[in-house]
Amino acid sequence: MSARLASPGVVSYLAGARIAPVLAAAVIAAVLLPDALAQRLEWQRVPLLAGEAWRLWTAPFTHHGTAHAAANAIALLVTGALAERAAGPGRVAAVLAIAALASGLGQLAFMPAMESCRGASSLAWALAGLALWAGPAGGLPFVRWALAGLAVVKFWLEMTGAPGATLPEGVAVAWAGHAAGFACGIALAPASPATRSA
Amino acid sequence: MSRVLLAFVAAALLLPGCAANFPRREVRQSASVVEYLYPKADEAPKLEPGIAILKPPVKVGIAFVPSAPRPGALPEPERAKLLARMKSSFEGRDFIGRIEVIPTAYLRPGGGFDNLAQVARMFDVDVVALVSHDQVRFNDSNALAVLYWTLVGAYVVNGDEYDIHTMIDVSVFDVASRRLLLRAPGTSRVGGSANLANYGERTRLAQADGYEKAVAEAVPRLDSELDGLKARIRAADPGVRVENRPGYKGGSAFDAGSLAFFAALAAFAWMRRRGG
Repeated sequence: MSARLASPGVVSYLAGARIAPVLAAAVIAAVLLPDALAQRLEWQRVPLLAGEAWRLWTAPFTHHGTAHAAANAIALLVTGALAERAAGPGRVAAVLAIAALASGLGQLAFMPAMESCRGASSLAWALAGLALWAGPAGGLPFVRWALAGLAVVKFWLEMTGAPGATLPEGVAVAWAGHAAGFACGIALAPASPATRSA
Repeated sequence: MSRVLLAFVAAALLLPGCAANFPRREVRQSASVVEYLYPKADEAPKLEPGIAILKPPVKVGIAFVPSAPRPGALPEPERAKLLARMKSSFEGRDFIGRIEVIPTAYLRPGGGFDNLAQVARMFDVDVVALVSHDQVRFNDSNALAVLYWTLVGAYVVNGDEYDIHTMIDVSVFDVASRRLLLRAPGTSRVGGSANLANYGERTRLAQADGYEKAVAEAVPRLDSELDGLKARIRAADPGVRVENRPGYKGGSAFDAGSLAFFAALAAFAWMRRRGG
Protein backbone atom coordinates (compact mmCIF):
# COMPACT_ATOMS: atom_id res chain seq x y z
CA MET A 1 0.00 0.00 0.00
CA SER A 2 2.78 2.42 0.89
CA ALA A 3 4.31 1.86 -2.52
CA ARG A 4 1.00 2.71 -4.16
CA LEU A 5 0.62 5.79 -1.99
CA ALA A 6 4.14 6.87 -2.69
CA SER A 7 3.60 6.69 -6.40
CA PRO A 8 -0.11 6.72 -6.95
CA GLY A 9 -0.39 7.77 -10.58
CA VAL A 10 -3.51 9.04 -12.20
CA VAL A 11 -5.05 5.63 -12.83
CA SER A 12 -4.70 4.36 -9.29
CA TYR A 13 -6.07 7.66 -7.96
CA LEU A 14 -9.15 7.41 -10.12
CA ALA A 15 -9.56 3.69 -9.46
CA GLY A 16 -9.46 4.33 -5.72
CA ALA A 17 -12.20 6.95 -5.80
CA ARG A 18 -15.73 5.86 -5.01
CA ILE A 19 -17.85 8.97 -4.94
CA ALA A 20 -16.28 11.17 -7.60
CA PRO A 21 -16.90 8.79 -10.57
CA VAL A 22 -20.55 8.36 -9.59
CA LEU A 23 -20.96 12.10 -9.25
CA ALA A 24 -19.24 12.78 -12.58
CA ALA A 25 -21.40 10.17 -14.32
CA ALA A 26 -24.53 11.72 -12.84
CA VAL A 27 -23.46 15.15 -14.07
CA ILE A 28 -22.97 13.82 -17.60
CA ALA A 29 -26.25 11.86 -17.55
CA ALA A 30 -28.18 14.93 -16.37
CA VAL A 31 -27.34 16.69 -19.62
CA LEU A 32 -30.04 14.53 -21.18
CA LEU A 33 -32.74 16.01 -18.95
CA PRO A 34 -35.34 18.09 -20.80
CA ASP A 35 -34.79 21.80 -20.34
CA ALA A 36 -38.14 22.24 -18.59
CA LEU A 37 -37.06 19.78 -15.92
CA ALA A 38 -33.58 21.30 -15.69
CA GLN A 39 -35.23 24.65 -15.01
CA ARG A 40 -37.06 23.07 -12.08
CA LEU A 41 -33.77 21.78 -10.71
CA GLU A 42 -31.37 24.67 -11.34
CA TRP A 43 -30.48 27.36 -8.82
CA GLN A 44 -33.06 30.13 -9.16
CA ARG A 45 -33.22 33.02 -6.76
CA VAL A 46 -36.97 33.63 -6.61
CA PRO A 47 -38.13 30.01 -6.21
CA LEU A 48 -35.34 29.37 -3.70
CA LEU A 49 -36.46 32.27 -1.57
CA ALA A 50 -40.01 30.98 -1.94
CA GLY A 51 -38.98 27.71 -0.30
CA GLU A 52 -37.79 25.41 -3.11
CA ALA A 53 -34.73 24.44 -1.10
CA TRP A 54 -34.06 21.27 -3.07
CA ARG A 55 -32.56 23.42 -5.80
CA LEU A 56 -29.49 23.92 -3.61
CA TRP A 57 -28.66 20.23 -4.01
CA THR A 58 -30.01 19.60 -7.51
CA ALA A 59 -28.46 22.65 -9.20
CA PRO A 60 -24.97 21.09 -9.44
CA PHE A 61 -26.41 18.44 -11.75
CA THR A 62 -27.75 20.98 -14.24
CA HIS A 63 -25.48 22.52 -16.86
CA HIS A 64 -25.43 24.94 -19.78
CA GLY A 65 -24.69 22.29 -22.39
CA THR A 66 -22.47 19.26 -22.89
CA ALA A 67 -19.11 21.08 -22.90
CA HIS A 68 -19.93 22.75 -19.59
CA ALA A 69 -21.00 19.42 -18.04
CA ALA A 70 -17.99 17.52 -19.42
CA ALA A 71 -15.49 20.06 -18.06
CA ASN A 72 -17.11 19.96 -14.64
CA ALA A 73 -17.26 16.15 -14.66
CA ILE A 74 -13.51 15.97 -15.32
CA ALA A 75 -12.86 18.51 -12.57
CA LEU A 76 -15.00 16.48 -10.17
CA LEU A 77 -13.12 13.29 -11.07
CA VAL A 78 -9.71 14.86 -10.43
CA THR A 79 -10.54 16.80 -7.26
CA GLY A 80 -12.78 14.00 -5.97
CA ALA A 81 -10.01 11.43 -6.33
CA LEU A 82 -7.52 13.69 -4.55
CA ALA A 83 -10.00 14.50 -1.78
CA GLU A 84 -11.01 10.90 -1.21
CA ARG A 85 -7.38 9.89 -1.01
CA ALA A 86 -6.73 12.64 1.54
CA ALA A 87 -9.90 12.56 3.63
CA GLY A 88 -11.87 9.40 2.85
CA PRO A 89 -15.26 8.93 1.15
CA GLY A 90 -17.33 9.66 4.24
CA ARG A 91 -15.79 13.08 4.66
CA VAL A 92 -16.09 13.73 0.93
CA ALA A 93 -19.81 12.94 1.00
CA ALA A 94 -20.33 15.24 3.99
CA VAL A 95 -18.36 18.06 2.37
CA LEU A 96 -20.32 17.73 -0.87
CA ALA A 97 -23.65 17.97 0.94
CA ILE A 98 -22.62 20.96 3.02
CA ALA A 99 -20.76 22.71 0.19
CA ALA A 100 -23.85 22.54 -2.05
CA LEU A 101 -25.76 24.37 0.67
CA ALA A 102 -22.95 26.86 1.35
CA SER A 103 -22.32 27.72 -2.30
CA GLY A 104 -26.03 28.16 -2.99
CA LEU A 105 -26.39 30.49 -0.02
CA GLY A 106 -23.18 32.29 -0.97
CA GLN A 107 -24.63 33.05 -4.40
CA LEU A 108 -27.83 34.31 -2.81
CA ALA A 109 -25.90 36.63 -0.56
CA PHE A 110 -23.08 37.90 -2.77
CA MET A 111 -24.48 37.79 -6.32
CA PRO A 112 -27.74 39.72 -5.99
CA ALA A 113 -28.12 40.27 -9.75
CA MET A 114 -27.92 36.58 -10.53
CA GLU A 115 -31.34 35.02 -11.10
CA SER A 116 -30.34 31.50 -12.10
CA CYS A 117 -27.27 29.31 -12.06
CA ARG A 118 -26.16 25.88 -13.20
CA GLY A 119 -23.04 23.88 -12.66
CA ALA A 120 -21.10 21.54 -10.39
CA SER A 121 -17.81 23.38 -10.15
CA SER A 122 -18.63 24.77 -6.71
CA LEU A 123 -18.52 21.16 -5.53
CA ALA A 124 -15.23 20.60 -7.35
CA TRP A 125 -13.80 23.66 -5.65
CA ALA A 126 -15.03 22.29 -2.30
CA LEU A 127 -13.23 19.01 -3.02
CA ALA A 128 -10.13 20.98 -4.02
CA GLY A 129 -10.21 22.83 -0.69
CA LEU A 130 -10.64 19.54 1.14
CA ALA A 131 -7.78 17.89 -0.75
CA LEU A 132 -5.53 20.88 -0.11
CA TRP A 133 -6.17 21.14 3.61
CA ALA A 134 -6.77 17.53 4.71
CA GLY A 135 -3.94 16.17 6.83
CA PRO A 136 -0.56 17.78 7.42
CA ALA A 137 1.09 19.76 4.66
CA GLY A 138 3.82 17.13 4.41
CA GLY A 139 6.60 19.64 4.85
CA LEU A 140 5.09 21.99 2.26
CA PRO A 141 3.07 24.53 4.28
CA PHE A 142 4.19 27.40 2.08
CA VAL A 143 2.92 25.61 -1.03
CA ARG A 144 -0.41 24.97 0.67
CA TRP A 145 -0.87 28.64 1.56
CA ALA A 146 0.36 29.74 -1.86
CA LEU A 147 -2.23 27.54 -3.56
CA ALA A 148 -4.95 28.86 -1.29
CA GLY A 149 -3.85 32.39 -2.17
CA LEU A 150 -3.94 31.55 -5.88
CA ALA A 151 -7.48 30.26 -5.47
CA VAL A 152 -8.50 33.54 -3.84
CA VAL A 153 -6.95 35.49 -6.72
CA LYS A 154 -8.83 33.25 -9.14
CA PHE A 155 -12.15 33.98 -7.39
CA TRP A 156 -11.37 37.70 -7.46
CA LEU A 157 -10.71 37.53 -11.21
CA GLU A 158 -14.00 35.70 -11.68
CA MET A 159 -15.79 38.33 -9.60
CA THR A 160 -14.39 41.11 -11.77
CA GLY A 161 -15.76 39.54 -14.90
CA ALA A 162 -13.34 36.94 -16.25
CA PRO A 163 -15.43 34.77 -18.59
CA GLY A 164 -15.84 31.05 -17.96
CA ALA A 165 -14.31 29.17 -20.89
CA THR A 166 -17.01 26.50 -21.04
CA LEU A 167 -19.93 28.83 -20.39
CA PRO A 168 -22.16 30.19 -23.14
CA GLU A 169 -21.77 33.86 -24.03
CA GLY A 170 -23.41 36.17 -21.53
CA VAL A 171 -23.41 33.71 -18.64
CA ALA A 172 -21.44 34.99 -15.68
CA VAL A 173 -19.15 32.81 -13.60
CA ALA A 174 -20.65 32.01 -10.21
CA TRP A 175 -17.61 33.14 -8.26
CA ALA A 176 -19.45 33.29 -4.93
CA GLY A 177 -20.38 29.61 -5.24
CA HIS A 178 -16.78 28.72 -6.04
CA ALA A 179 -15.42 30.72 -3.10
CA ALA A 180 -18.02 29.39 -0.67
CA GLY A 181 -17.39 25.80 -1.81
CA PHE A 182 -13.62 26.17 -1.49
CA ALA A 183 -13.91 27.72 1.97
CA CYS A 184 -16.29 24.96 2.99
CA GLY A 185 -13.83 22.26 1.84
CA ILE A 186 -11.01 23.86 3.86
CA ALA A 187 -13.19 24.37 6.95
CA LEU A 188 -14.33 20.75 6.97
CA ALA A 189 -10.93 19.21 6.23
CA PRO A 190 -9.71 16.78 8.91
CA ALA A 191 -6.46 17.53 10.71
CA SER A 192 -5.16 13.99 10.12
CA PRO A 193 -5.04 12.19 6.80
CA ALA A 194 -7.45 9.39 5.91
CA THR A 195 -6.34 5.98 7.05
CA ARG A 196 -7.65 3.71 4.42
CA SER A 197 -6.31 1.67 1.63
CA ALA A 198 -7.21 2.86 -1.80
CA MET B 1 -112.09 67.05 -7.06
CA SER B 2 -109.72 69.75 -6.11
CA ARG B 3 -107.43 67.07 -4.57
CA VAL B 4 -107.34 65.13 -7.84
CA LEU B 5 -106.51 68.31 -9.69
CA LEU B 6 -103.77 69.06 -7.22
CA ALA B 7 -102.30 65.58 -7.75
CA PHE B 8 -102.22 66.06 -11.51
CA VAL B 9 -100.53 69.41 -11.17
CA ALA B 10 -97.93 67.95 -8.81
CA ALA B 11 -97.26 65.06 -11.20
CA ALA B 12 -96.90 67.44 -14.09
CA LEU B 13 -94.37 69.45 -12.15
CA LEU B 14 -92.42 66.35 -11.07
CA LEU B 15 -92.28 64.80 -14.55
CA PRO B 16 -89.77 67.25 -16.02
CA GLY B 17 -87.68 66.73 -12.88
CA CYS B 18 -87.49 62.97 -13.47
CA ALA B 19 -86.66 63.48 -17.11
CA ALA B 20 -83.94 65.94 -16.26
CA ASN B 21 -82.31 63.58 -13.78
CA PHE B 22 -82.36 60.58 -16.05
CA PRO B 23 -78.94 59.63 -17.50
CA ARG B 24 -78.04 60.18 -21.12
CA ARG B 25 -78.81 57.35 -23.51
CA GLU B 26 -75.12 56.65 -24.13
CA VAL B 27 -72.28 57.10 -21.67
CA ARG B 28 -68.69 56.48 -22.75
CA GLN B 29 -65.42 56.03 -20.85
CA SER B 30 -62.30 55.59 -22.87
CA ALA B 31 -58.56 56.04 -22.83
CA SER B 32 -56.75 55.43 -26.07
CA VAL B 33 -53.12 54.37 -26.22
CA VAL B 34 -52.72 56.20 -29.54
CA GLU B 35 -54.00 59.46 -28.06
CA TYR B 36 -51.65 59.03 -25.12
CA LEU B 37 -48.54 58.18 -27.11
CA TYR B 38 -49.21 60.39 -30.17
CA PRO B 39 -51.17 63.36 -28.78
CA LYS B 40 -50.36 65.81 -31.54
CA ALA B 41 -50.59 63.49 -34.46
CA ASP B 42 -52.62 65.12 -37.21
CA GLU B 43 -52.12 62.08 -39.34
CA ALA B 44 -51.63 58.40 -38.58
CA PRO B 45 -48.42 57.95 -36.56
CA LYS B 46 -45.46 56.67 -38.52
CA LEU B 47 -43.95 53.88 -36.51
CA GLU B 48 -40.21 53.82 -37.01
CA PRO B 49 -39.12 51.78 -34.04
CA GLY B 50 -35.64 50.52 -33.54
CA ILE B 51 -34.70 47.05 -32.46
CA ALA B 52 -35.98 46.22 -29.00
CA ILE B 53 -33.04 45.04 -26.91
CA LEU B 54 -34.34 43.04 -23.98
CA LYS B 55 -32.03 42.28 -21.10
CA PRO B 56 -33.50 39.49 -18.99
CA PRO B 57 -34.78 39.57 -16.38
CA VAL B 58 -36.89 42.24 -18.07
CA LYS B 59 -38.39 44.73 -15.63
CA VAL B 60 -42.03 45.38 -16.44
CA GLY B 61 -44.38 48.20 -15.53
CA ILE B 62 -48.15 47.94 -15.92
CA ALA B 63 -50.37 50.99 -16.08
CA PHE B 64 -53.74 52.17 -17.28
CA VAL B 65 -53.56 54.69 -20.09
CA PRO B 66 -54.44 58.05 -18.51
CA SER B 67 -57.43 60.02 -19.68
CA ALA B 68 -58.85 63.42 -18.84
CA PRO B 69 -60.72 63.30 -15.51
CA ARG B 70 -64.41 62.81 -16.00
CA PRO B 71 -67.33 61.69 -13.79
CA GLY B 72 -67.88 57.97 -13.65
CA ALA B 73 -64.32 57.05 -14.59
CA LEU B 74 -62.98 53.78 -13.23
CA PRO B 75 -61.73 54.51 -9.69
CA GLU B 76 -58.06 53.93 -8.91
CA PRO B 77 -58.61 51.02 -6.46
CA GLU B 78 -60.56 49.18 -9.18
CA ARG B 79 -57.75 49.89 -11.64
CA ALA B 80 -55.16 48.56 -9.18
CA LYS B 81 -57.21 45.39 -8.76
CA LEU B 82 -57.43 44.83 -12.51
CA LEU B 83 -53.72 45.54 -12.99
CA ALA B 84 -52.89 43.03 -10.27
CA ARG B 85 -54.77 40.38 -12.27
CA MET B 86 -52.80 41.24 -15.39
CA LYS B 87 -49.58 41.25 -13.40
CA SER B 88 -50.10 37.54 -12.75
CA SER B 89 -49.57 36.86 -16.47
CA PHE B 90 -46.05 38.25 -16.27
CA GLU B 91 -45.14 36.44 -13.06
CA GLY B 92 -43.30 33.13 -12.99
CA ARG B 93 -41.56 33.65 -16.34
CA ASP B 94 -37.84 33.15 -16.32
CA PHE B 95 -37.14 36.11 -18.62
CA ILE B 96 -39.23 38.55 -16.57
CA GLY B 97 -37.96 40.05 -13.35
CA ARG B 98 -39.61 42.71 -11.23
CA ILE B 99 -43.14 43.81 -12.13
CA GLU B 100 -44.37 47.22 -11.02
CA VAL B 101 -47.98 48.36 -10.98
CA ILE B 102 -47.85 52.05 -11.92
CA PRO B 103 -50.70 54.22 -10.61
CA THR B 104 -52.44 56.26 -13.34
CA ALA B 105 -51.62 59.48 -11.51
CA TYR B 106 -47.99 59.10 -12.58
CA LEU B 107 -48.92 59.32 -16.26
CA ARG B 108 -50.03 62.53 -17.93
CA PRO B 109 -52.88 62.45 -20.45
CA GLY B 110 -51.36 62.98 -23.89
CA GLY B 111 -47.88 62.70 -22.39
CA GLY B 112 -46.47 60.70 -25.29
CA PHE B 113 -43.35 58.57 -25.25
CA ASP B 114 -41.49 61.26 -23.32
CA ASN B 115 -43.84 60.87 -20.39
CA LEU B 116 -43.65 57.09 -20.73
CA ALA B 117 -39.85 57.24 -20.60
CA GLN B 118 -39.97 59.48 -17.50
CA VAL B 119 -42.22 57.05 -15.69
CA ALA B 120 -40.13 54.07 -16.82
CA ARG B 121 -37.04 55.75 -15.38
CA MET B 122 -38.85 56.61 -12.17
CA PHE B 123 -40.02 53.02 -11.65
CA ASP B 124 -36.85 51.51 -13.15
CA VAL B 125 -38.64 49.36 -15.72
CA ASP B 126 -37.61 48.37 -19.25
CA VAL B 127 -40.99 47.72 -20.81
CA VAL B 128 -44.42 49.06 -19.99
CA ALA B 129 -47.74 47.33 -20.52
CA LEU B 130 -50.28 50.07 -21.25
CA VAL B 131 -53.88 49.13 -20.66
CA SER B 132 -56.29 51.14 -22.80
CA HIS B 133 -60.02 50.80 -22.42
CA ASP B 134 -63.23 51.78 -24.10
CA GLN B 135 -66.55 51.26 -22.38
CA VAL B 136 -69.94 52.33 -23.67
CA ARG B 137 -73.09 52.11 -21.60
CA PHE B 138 -76.41 52.28 -23.41
CA ASN B 139 -79.38 53.33 -21.29
CA ASP B 140 -82.93 52.44 -22.35
CA SER B 141 -86.33 52.43 -20.76
CA ASN B 142 -88.74 49.56 -21.16
CA ALA B 143 -92.51 49.46 -21.03
CA LEU B 144 -92.54 49.05 -17.26
CA ALA B 145 -91.08 52.53 -16.88
CA VAL B 146 -94.58 53.90 -17.16
CA LEU B 147 -95.18 52.63 -13.62
CA TYR B 148 -92.70 55.17 -12.32
CA TRP B 149 -95.69 57.46 -12.36
CA THR B 150 -96.90 55.69 -9.27
CA LEU B 151 -93.77 56.82 -7.38
CA VAL B 152 -93.69 53.43 -5.61
CA GLY B 153 -92.91 51.97 -9.02
CA ALA B 154 -89.70 53.95 -9.13
CA TYR B 155 -88.47 51.79 -6.25
CA VAL B 156 -89.82 48.36 -7.17
CA VAL B 157 -90.19 48.19 -10.94
CA ASN B 158 -87.17 47.66 -13.16
CA GLY B 159 -88.19 50.02 -15.87
CA ASP B 160 -84.70 50.89 -17.07
CA GLU B 161 -82.21 48.73 -18.91
CA TYR B 162 -78.51 49.06 -19.50
CA ASP B 163 -76.21 47.39 -21.93
CA ILE B 164 -72.48 47.81 -21.31
CA HIS B 165 -69.84 47.02 -23.91
CA THR B 166 -66.25 47.00 -22.72
CA MET B 167 -62.99 46.60 -24.55
CA ILE B 168 -59.62 46.30 -22.81
CA ASP B 169 -56.38 46.26 -24.76
CA VAL B 170 -52.97 45.55 -23.26
CA SER B 171 -50.12 46.92 -25.38
CA VAL B 172 -46.61 46.12 -24.23
CA PHE B 173 -44.00 48.65 -25.36
CA ASP B 174 -40.24 48.54 -25.12
CA VAL B 175 -39.61 52.03 -23.80
CA ALA B 176 -36.10 52.56 -25.22
CA SER B 177 -36.92 51.52 -28.80
CA ARG B 178 -40.62 52.57 -28.63
CA ARG B 179 -41.41 49.22 -30.19
CA LEU B 180 -44.73 47.49 -29.66
CA LEU B 181 -43.76 44.02 -28.47
CA LEU B 182 -47.20 42.49 -28.18
CA ARG B 183 -50.83 43.26 -27.57
CA ALA B 184 -53.72 41.33 -26.06
CA PRO B 185 -57.33 42.48 -26.22
CA GLY B 186 -60.35 41.43 -24.19
CA THR B 187 -64.00 42.33 -24.55
CA SER B 188 -67.17 41.87 -22.58
CA ARG B 189 -70.84 42.68 -22.66
CA VAL B 190 -72.93 43.07 -19.53
CA GLY B 191 -76.63 43.80 -19.57
CA GLY B 192 -79.30 44.19 -16.94
CA SER B 193 -82.16 46.23 -15.64
CA ALA B 194 -82.81 48.43 -12.64
CA ASN B 195 -85.41 50.69 -11.19
CA LEU B 196 -85.13 54.41 -11.07
CA ALA B 197 -83.91 54.43 -7.47
CA ASN B 198 -81.04 51.98 -7.80
CA TYR B 199 -80.12 52.59 -11.42
CA GLY B 200 -76.93 54.47 -10.59
CA GLU B 201 -75.64 51.83 -8.19
CA ARG B 202 -76.56 48.91 -10.48
CA THR B 203 -74.87 50.41 -13.50
CA ARG B 204 -71.76 51.32 -11.53
CA LEU B 205 -71.41 47.71 -10.38
CA ALA B 206 -72.17 46.43 -13.87
CA GLN B 207 -69.53 48.69 -15.37
CA ALA B 208 -66.94 47.33 -12.93
CA ASP B 209 -68.13 43.82 -13.79
CA GLY B 210 -67.67 44.65 -17.47
CA TYR B 211 -64.05 45.63 -16.89
CA GLU B 212 -63.41 42.48 -14.86
CA LYS B 213 -64.87 40.23 -17.57
CA ALA B 214 -62.88 41.98 -20.28
CA VAL B 215 -59.69 41.57 -18.26
CA ALA B 216 -60.56 37.92 -17.64
CA GLU B 217 -60.71 37.48 -21.41
CA ALA B 218 -57.50 39.44 -21.99
CA VAL B 219 -55.38 37.56 -19.43
CA PRO B 220 -55.20 34.18 -21.27
CA ARG B 221 -54.45 36.03 -24.48
CA LEU B 222 -51.71 37.93 -22.71
CA ASP B 223 -50.30 34.61 -21.44
CA SER B 224 -50.35 33.27 -24.96
CA GLU B 225 -48.74 36.40 -26.41
CA LEU B 226 -45.97 36.28 -23.79
CA ASP B 227 -45.31 32.63 -24.70
CA GLY B 228 -45.29 33.75 -28.32
CA LEU B 229 -42.79 36.52 -27.55
CA LYS B 230 -40.38 33.98 -26.11
CA ALA B 231 -40.83 31.79 -29.17
CA ARG B 232 -40.25 34.81 -31.46
CA ILE B 233 -37.05 35.66 -29.63
CA ARG B 234 -35.86 32.06 -29.97
CA ALA B 235 -36.73 32.15 -33.66
CA ALA B 236 -34.51 35.23 -34.04
CA ASP B 237 -37.21 37.87 -34.59
CA PRO B 238 -35.31 40.70 -36.36
CA GLY B 239 -37.13 43.30 -34.26
CA VAL B 240 -36.20 41.89 -30.88
CA ARG B 241 -32.76 41.06 -29.57
CA VAL B 242 -31.84 39.59 -26.23
CA GLU B 243 -28.72 40.61 -24.37
CA ASN B 244 -27.84 39.20 -21.04
CA ARG B 245 -27.67 41.63 -18.16
CA PRO B 246 -24.30 41.14 -16.43
CA GLY B 247 -24.64 38.40 -13.86
CA TYR B 248 -28.20 37.50 -14.75
CA LYS B 249 -27.34 33.89 -15.52
CA GLY B 250 -24.60 32.14 -13.68
CA GLY B 251 -22.59 29.11 -14.44
CA SER B 252 -20.33 27.23 -12.20
CA ALA B 253 -17.56 26.40 -14.65
CA PHE B 254 -13.88 25.88 -15.27
CA ASP B 255 -11.39 27.63 -17.43
CA ALA B 256 -7.66 27.33 -18.06
CA GLY B 257 -6.87 29.03 -14.74
CA SER B 258 -8.96 26.50 -12.82
CA LEU B 259 -7.36 23.56 -14.60
CA ALA B 260 -3.89 24.98 -13.87
CA PHE B 261 -4.87 25.25 -10.22
CA PHE B 262 -6.03 21.63 -10.10
CA ALA B 263 -2.83 20.50 -11.79
CA ALA B 264 -0.86 22.37 -9.13
CA LEU B 265 -3.06 20.78 -6.46
CA ALA B 266 -2.34 17.32 -7.86
CA ALA B 267 1.39 18.09 -7.88
CA PHE B 268 1.13 19.30 -4.27
CA ALA B 269 -0.63 16.07 -3.28
CA TRP B 270 2.00 14.01 -5.03
CA MET B 271 4.87 15.94 -3.37
CA ARG B 272 3.17 15.72 0.02
CA ARG B 273 2.94 11.95 -0.28
CA ARG B 274 6.55 11.80 -1.34
CA GLY B 275 7.58 14.12 1.48
CA GLY B 276 5.33 12.59 4.15
